[in-house]
Amino acid sequence: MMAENDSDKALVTRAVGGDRVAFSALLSRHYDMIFRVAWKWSGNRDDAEDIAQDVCVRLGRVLPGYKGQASFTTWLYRVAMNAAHDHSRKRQSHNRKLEDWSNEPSRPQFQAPSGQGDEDAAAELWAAVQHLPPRQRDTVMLVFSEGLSHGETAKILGCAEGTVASNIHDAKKQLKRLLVQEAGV
Amino acid sequence: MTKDDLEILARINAGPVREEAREKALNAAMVAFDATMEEQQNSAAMQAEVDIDDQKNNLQTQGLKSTTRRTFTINQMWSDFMNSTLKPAWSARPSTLATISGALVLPLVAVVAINVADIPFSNPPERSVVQHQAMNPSSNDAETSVQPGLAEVKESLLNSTAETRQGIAASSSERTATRGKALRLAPRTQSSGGMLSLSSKGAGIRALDSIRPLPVPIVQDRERYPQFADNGVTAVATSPVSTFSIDVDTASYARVRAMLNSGNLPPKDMVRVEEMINYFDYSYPLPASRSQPFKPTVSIMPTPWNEHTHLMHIGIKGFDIVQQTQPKANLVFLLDVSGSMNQPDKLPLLIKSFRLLLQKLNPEDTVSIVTYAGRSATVLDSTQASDRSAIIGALDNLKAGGSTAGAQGIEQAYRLAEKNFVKDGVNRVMLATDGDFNVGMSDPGQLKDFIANKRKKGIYLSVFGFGQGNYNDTLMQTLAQNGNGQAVYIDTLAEAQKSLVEESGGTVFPIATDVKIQVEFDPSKVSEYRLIGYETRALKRQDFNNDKVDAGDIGAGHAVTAIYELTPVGSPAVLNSPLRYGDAKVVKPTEFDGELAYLKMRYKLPGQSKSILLEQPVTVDQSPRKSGALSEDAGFAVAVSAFGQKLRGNPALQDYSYAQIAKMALANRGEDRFGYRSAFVQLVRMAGSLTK
Repeated sequence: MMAENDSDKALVTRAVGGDRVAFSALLSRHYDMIFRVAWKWSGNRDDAEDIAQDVCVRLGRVLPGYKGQASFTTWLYRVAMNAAHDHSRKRQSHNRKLEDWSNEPSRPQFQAPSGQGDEDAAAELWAAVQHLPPRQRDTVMLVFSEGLSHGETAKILGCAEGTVASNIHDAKKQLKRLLVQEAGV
Repeated sequence: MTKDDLEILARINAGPVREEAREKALNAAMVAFDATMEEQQNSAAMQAEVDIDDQKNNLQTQGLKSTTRRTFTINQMWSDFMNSTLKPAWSARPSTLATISGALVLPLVAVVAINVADIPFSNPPERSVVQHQAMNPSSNDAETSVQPGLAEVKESLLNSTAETRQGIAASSSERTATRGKALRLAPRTQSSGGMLSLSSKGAGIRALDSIRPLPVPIVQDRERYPQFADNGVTAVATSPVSTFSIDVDTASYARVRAMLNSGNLPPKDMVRVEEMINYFDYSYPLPASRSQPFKPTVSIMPTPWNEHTHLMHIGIKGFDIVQQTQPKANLVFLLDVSGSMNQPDKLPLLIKSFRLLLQKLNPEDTVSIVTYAGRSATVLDSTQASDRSAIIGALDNLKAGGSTAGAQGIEQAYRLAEKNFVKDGVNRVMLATDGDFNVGMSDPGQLKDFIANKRKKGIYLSVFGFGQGNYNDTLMQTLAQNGNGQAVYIDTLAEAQKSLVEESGGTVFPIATDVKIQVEFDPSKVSEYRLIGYETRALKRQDFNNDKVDAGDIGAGHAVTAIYELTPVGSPAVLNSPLRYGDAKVVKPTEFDGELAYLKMRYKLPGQSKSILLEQPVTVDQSPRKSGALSEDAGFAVAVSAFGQKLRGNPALQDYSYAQIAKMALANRGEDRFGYRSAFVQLVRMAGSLTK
């Protein structure tokens, strides 16, 4: 179909105008990326699928209001991260109840896709990253896991590039403490 | 910690995308997309309607039928605009025609422009603008009568852009109300070909209903329903006893109705036949004395959809409580005000609904309000119903926002109910939510136990569902069933009026609790039976006499109906072949007459723990054949049961059409004081046309 060769920008313009085909093409094109972000932010398939679906639904609701100042991908990152945050907030209150019930603190875990056996260290670091304040966590994930530049990360987070750098700096200090703590216990 | 250490985060990766999940997500997104587009269009269209009314006289358009105006949607308006404005060249038309259609179209477009102007759009059309002479300035008949404010908007129309056949973008000039923001709207692809027929005299304007886009089945992925299979046909020889709990929930009917009204057939699991039947009120006979809260009335009738079987209809009607004798009530409204409730059919409707309930309370009854969103809060401590203004004030101040943390809210609501506990009165938590309800415990089982425990202490729970999209039907059902309450789905204010005002007795005040029904069939008369509906309410045979086993309640004035389809011995409809080693003598066909079955019911009076047994034989003498005309109530209940079964795709109803169901319902409509039954007939017809 024609839509497949169009640029994001053209598709967005058409979708904002009510073109269903364009909207559908846009989603098909970006679902994988949405799903990937959702998995990396939540750590497992079930949550990732929920979040990814939530992101798609949100796009259906908010695309008409998309301002088009940021690139579509930048904007998509924002929507996806917001959805992941909302999801984890729900998850947390759920976990708090679980903890009350079981007297055992729940710990975030990264469920690596099957067939990847040597990722223990990465999964462990990921779990530690989950304990960082949200802003630092997002920065670290965008820069190191998604491999984005400081500039791109700054755009997504809506901050200055310098803030990205200082967030990473703070995150490293925090992580060191977290990992030492973990090793000590 | 070095930079390199963090680099290993690049190694974490997501698993492969499951096609199923992708498809589900995309479907859900399309639904949201369509809904958003439609909302925008509708809000503009509503305004346009008002505007047309205002302008009608000024414009002097004869023959613009009011019914037609009501059905205007933006889709139509665009079609109109496209057909009348863009395709035929303006100049080629007689100027009188141009004047009239221009004058008509102008306010529509102007209003659309203004309404949609606050939605921020960018990417203004970059292509060259096709200049349109939208109005012929020389033909002033209409122009002079157009209200002054419109002159400004007209300016913007002069710059209207025609881009594609379907897309149209009006980019406004700096001076107009839209302040330079570009507006783009395009009708959905299905809606092309709309028609506005203009006679050359310019008098007759007809917008055809048929140009509305045909409804497309929606997959409502985020909603959850308990899944269950229809009750099958049971052979009396092997299993002569049928036991179930009564159910007074009505939620399924309202949900099915909302679904059909949006042009979609409901998913099978949304349809619970007994809830559809019990949505309607039936005036079955009451017991002779008030000492017995209700009585069953049994009738046998031929099955409309199968000439070889019979129906056994059990109708139960409870006494209504007169408002003066109403026990004192301690109600705690537990209201969901999370962000998702911020939709016209949710929080605003909820507030209006609960305001309605107040009028049914006695002055000394108390109301407390707990809200839950990000955190739960007591909005109103226990307040006497006589202080209406305080309660209404608290309701009106509710605002939606934040995420849902339902479990804390529930605990808080129950604490309040306990604090204000009325002995020998009604203590009830009334939960209203859109179902995006975070139970907060590791599984719904815990919440269920919590509610069941409180029930034992005398605090009941009713559940009121609002809105569509992510309604968690399973959870709502479970909660209400464990809280001795009703699950009601409210989609309109009329529905709130029905369940909270007309039936407030039943909704709030139980007259009998743990009501169970057990029927034993005589194998020499009845070969097979099938209980219609109540799939989720089945009980074990031994549970009937066990007072510890919970069952449904009957509220004041409630009517409950259960229908069995019976296959007489020797009927060609018998499905199970006789047992080779069974009791040989029952195989011989006997007259379908005399005593067929034995009906037993158990119930407790509210607050009691020991049950009372009611029993009676079921004889064919109760058949309308012998006892005169079949009651309209029973006939109507059968029609509703047929509809529910057909929607569930039950093979028994395969050859029975929606038209036949509508006919049966119509014939048994009775007095229908509130018009619910007529509305049902409409619904059946709608389902019929959707399946064609």
